[in-house]
Amino acid sequence: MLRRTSKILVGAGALGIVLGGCGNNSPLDAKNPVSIDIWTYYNGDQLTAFDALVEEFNETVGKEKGIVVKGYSQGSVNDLESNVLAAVQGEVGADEVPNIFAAYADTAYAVDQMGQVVDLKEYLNKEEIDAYIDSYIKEGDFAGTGEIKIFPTAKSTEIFVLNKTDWDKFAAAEGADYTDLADMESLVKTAQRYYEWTDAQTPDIPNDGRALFGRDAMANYMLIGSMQLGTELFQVTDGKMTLHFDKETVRKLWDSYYIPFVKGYYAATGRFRSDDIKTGNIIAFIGSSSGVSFLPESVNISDTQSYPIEIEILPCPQFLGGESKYAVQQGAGMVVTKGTEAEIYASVEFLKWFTADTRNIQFSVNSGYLPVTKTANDKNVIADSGVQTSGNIGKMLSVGVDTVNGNKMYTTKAFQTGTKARNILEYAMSDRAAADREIVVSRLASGMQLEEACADFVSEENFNAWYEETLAKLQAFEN
Amino acid sequence: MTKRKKDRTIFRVMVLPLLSILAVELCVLVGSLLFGGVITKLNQNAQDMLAQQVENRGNYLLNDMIGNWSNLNIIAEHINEKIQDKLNHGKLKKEDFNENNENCVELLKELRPDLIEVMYNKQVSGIFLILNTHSLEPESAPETLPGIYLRDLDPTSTPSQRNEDILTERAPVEVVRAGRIATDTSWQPAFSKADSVEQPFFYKPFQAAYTSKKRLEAKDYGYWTTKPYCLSGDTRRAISYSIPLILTDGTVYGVLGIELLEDYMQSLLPCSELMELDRGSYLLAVSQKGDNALAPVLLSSELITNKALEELQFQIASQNPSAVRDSKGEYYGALKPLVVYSNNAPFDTDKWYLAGISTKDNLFAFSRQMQRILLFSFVITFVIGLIGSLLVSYRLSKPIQLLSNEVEKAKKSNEMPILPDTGIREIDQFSDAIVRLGHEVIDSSTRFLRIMDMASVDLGGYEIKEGSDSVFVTDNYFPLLGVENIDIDSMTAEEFKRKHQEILNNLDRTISEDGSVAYQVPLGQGRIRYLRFENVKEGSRHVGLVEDVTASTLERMRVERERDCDGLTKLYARRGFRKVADELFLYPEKMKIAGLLMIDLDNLKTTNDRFGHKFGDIYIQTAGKCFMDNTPDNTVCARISGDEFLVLFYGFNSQDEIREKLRILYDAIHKVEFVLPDGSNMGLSASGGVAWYPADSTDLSVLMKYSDFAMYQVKRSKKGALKEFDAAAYQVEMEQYLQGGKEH
Repeated sequence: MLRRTSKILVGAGALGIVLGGCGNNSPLDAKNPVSIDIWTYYNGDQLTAFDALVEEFNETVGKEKGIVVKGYSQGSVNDLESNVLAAVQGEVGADEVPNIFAAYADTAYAVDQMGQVVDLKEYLNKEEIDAYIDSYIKEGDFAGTGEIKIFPTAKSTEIFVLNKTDWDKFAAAEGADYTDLADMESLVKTAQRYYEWTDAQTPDIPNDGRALFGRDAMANYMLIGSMQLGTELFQVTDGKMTLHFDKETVRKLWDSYYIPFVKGYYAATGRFRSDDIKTGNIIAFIGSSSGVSFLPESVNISDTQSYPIEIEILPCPQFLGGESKYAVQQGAGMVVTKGTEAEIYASVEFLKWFTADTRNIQFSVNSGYLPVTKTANDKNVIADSGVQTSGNIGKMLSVGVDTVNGNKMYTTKAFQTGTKARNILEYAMSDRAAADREIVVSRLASGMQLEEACADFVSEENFNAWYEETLAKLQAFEN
Repeated sequence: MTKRKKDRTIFRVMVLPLLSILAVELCVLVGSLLFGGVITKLNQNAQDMLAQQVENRGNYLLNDMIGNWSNLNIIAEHINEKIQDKLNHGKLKKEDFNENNENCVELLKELRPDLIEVMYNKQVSGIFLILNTHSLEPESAPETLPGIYLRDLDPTSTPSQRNEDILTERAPVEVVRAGRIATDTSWQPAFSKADSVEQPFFYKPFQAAYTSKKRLEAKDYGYWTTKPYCLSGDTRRAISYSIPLILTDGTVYGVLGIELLEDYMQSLLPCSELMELDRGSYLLAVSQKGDNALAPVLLSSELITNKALEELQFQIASQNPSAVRDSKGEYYGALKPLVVYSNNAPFDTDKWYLAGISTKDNLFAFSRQMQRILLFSFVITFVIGLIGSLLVSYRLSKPIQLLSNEVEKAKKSNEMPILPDTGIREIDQFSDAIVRLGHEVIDSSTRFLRIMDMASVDLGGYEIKEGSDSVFVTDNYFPLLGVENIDIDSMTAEEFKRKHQEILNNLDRTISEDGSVAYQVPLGQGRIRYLRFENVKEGSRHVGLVEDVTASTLERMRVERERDCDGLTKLYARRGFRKVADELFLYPEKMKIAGLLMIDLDNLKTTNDRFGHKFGDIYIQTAGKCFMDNTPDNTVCARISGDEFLVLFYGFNSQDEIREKLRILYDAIHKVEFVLPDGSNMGLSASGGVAWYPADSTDLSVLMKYSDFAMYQVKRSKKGALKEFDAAAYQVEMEQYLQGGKEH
């Protein structure tokens, strides 16, 4: 009697559990919302745009499905990376690993190597995957098996930003036009002309010529430039990097940056070249399309003097002679870390929502990133979406979309020491250039002429020395 | 009269106690909880936990606020020294403080790394320095002020080596150019009026120091902004703590402050630690007017949006200064005062508080849930208890009820009940015992009945118990009485008595010589059953007996008949005659006029001698038959001795009627003829004497004597004649007899 009753009870209980579980495929519960932390490196307008979307999600889909998203800005990409790695490695004083973090391939790869990254392929069906631009999806395929470890959310490429107001003065005076900015070699020449023109404005003051151009992200310059010139600098297969620091290619890179920099044709003082534009240090730069929202509307040449400027956005000048045109594919994607079923599901829900066409365009427009879906990467679609695309953002979107559609999008595959290796490229040339320029400036101040002041810097020996030094540093990361 | 015990069914007996136990249990449960104050304690507990959290978090915050953030002395000193040094060396003049000139810019460039270091060390989100020596009176207030405002958007993470996480909000162009620090979108080279002169974080400490008569230390003029502010062009809100910068000679030359972004502050007040699912929130608030109203500074919750915040008005509860109430009564909060100002400091009228608030529903959610659970379990217990009690009682009482019903049924049908099994051992044993007892009783009663059956006498009986409605009647009782088809099982005592009496009344009775009564039951075909009734009352028992005495009665009657009748003539014998006549003589109305005739058969002796006794008997019989046949019905004929007969004529209205009857008789006598054995005929001759009643006597013996005398007279004179009594002759005869004359 007791056995029979207990059997009935067990049966009833099991039935209850099954019935309770039935009809509920999602692990989410609207009454017990799951909390998702997202770490980004967004600032300014990007952060505002992102926060607005997060709030919209929380109040609509999130409330309905039981998801609460909290965004945290880590300040900068490098800060984000170091914080994520510290969290994943469980370092003392580190935060808890966030559910989602924005990351470049290198950071994502590093965290993946620690086994903390979720393969999102299981949570997306084929249709959903196909909606995204292929090379963006492939960026997250570390093992080459079609896995998706990085969810593309906001991509960018590089654009050429021009202070049109000041350029027009120069162009009018010297008879220059945009063709003089069309390729790298022309750019160098035009910069020299600009320097000499501005220097000539103040005949009394020698060597006060102004720099035309500056560049953000020197690593991109090296990597993409090298691709444009036909060599893949960091060749990565199966997570192992083979270095191709081709001397000839590097020499061209050196000639197109270091040389003009020490001569003062190029400059970089602020943190970003947009800062240099703001202070009137330069009138053009190549930078990430995502920086478009930071572009100034006026130039403060002194604390009391400022004037408004108009920005023009042009496609990046490329090195001539290469087989194909390359553009850099950047922008961090979102990486989902391992967690409970509910957390992962909720994270994917948020990301899918976030990159749905209209919202993607909305975020892009407000933050200066490019849309990530094939359908949204279309100027007409963007125009039709009803999102306000005025001003610099509109110009950037136009050029950006063209760049994405008209170039081979390149980004180095992730490898173990990718970030460190990349940092070498970032600072090796630019730091040297900045330091050497200081010396030139002090030399000029002491009365030397430009030619003389730069002499030893523009020499072959200088390059060789720098090349060897940098090569050695880079080889340390080869595996 | 014994008192009747209360008649309760077993179901009731079981159910009521069970239910009352249930009721008591539930009362105890509820009572103990209510009076034990469990619910109040739970609520109090929730409030205490909240208060504890707020206390702890408040202490942390206060620690940061006082010990860290507002501790700007060292950097202020450092700045003071640097500036003093520059002033002393002529590199700087006090007038330089008002515009972004070279010296100022140089100063700011130099100070920037120090400020950055302080910002990193204190883990604040921003640091600023504004330079001014002008008065802030509207007329003399400057349009722009030089200064520097730096921001670190993630103060808690490790500082970037290249200062990559710092944004410049305000700084001269040269400063921006000089350092590799990014500018924010809203960067401006100098502080506009809106960002400085009109901002409390600037003018309050500045004015306090500037206009102060006493010369307090700079830190005493420190001020915490009570409302978050935005720099122009920026959207981020922040609060700040700022102190005036005062040179040793008392010149107030600017303001130094640290900034805490609202987002950052919110992250330092995690609402998840107050209640689960972020249902609680921290509220940083200030009481400025000295009353209980709390002006919110910032709220750390995501669930209570800023809109809602504006609608709520919080204040310190009047009864309990460590509690917070809101105007609508929906919220409850614990309060911790934050003493951020020293006593008598210029701004100590701003009382800061940290409150942890939650809606009452959320705070007391657990106790409400407990209440719901308790109510639920109360209801469930009640329902289960009720159903269970009813069910159990029913199940237990049902077999017993069945048993009782069977017994009731059996009582009516007077059969032995078939007692069903109840499954309860004691009760089954009990019913078995009853059945056995019943059987024994039946056996003992039937035992006797069977013995009786074997007896040759049919006996029936009944018993009535006083006070009882039922009567015990033997099966054969009524059949003995000749009444079939009486349902004795369902008869009540009254019915029985009535029926019994009814039957008895319809039966004929005979009373025998010893006085016993026998009732006659006609059986058809002339047969009669004689019954004797007997009953006795013993206490409350009334027992009756009917005995079939047919055999003995018939025997007795035969004996009597034999005794009373003459066997030869079938007439009465002397004894019988005497009996009947004596009976008649008791009722003169019956007798009316009567005559007693004594007849003596003539020549009997000679007949006997000539033809034998056999013929003599025939002679007597014939005479007897003649007398019988020729007298009226109501005449008593008897043969009192060998040849003497008596015939009593009674119930006539006159002697003449009787004489007529006598004449008929004598005519008949003369007509009788016998055929003698020898073939000759003989006639009957009888001498008779008649005495008249009541004329001659009313006494039978006397009449017999007189009629005998009369007959004797006939016999002496002429035989075969009839003579009436002659009283005179008798007298003479008697006298002659008495005188001694002996004739015979």
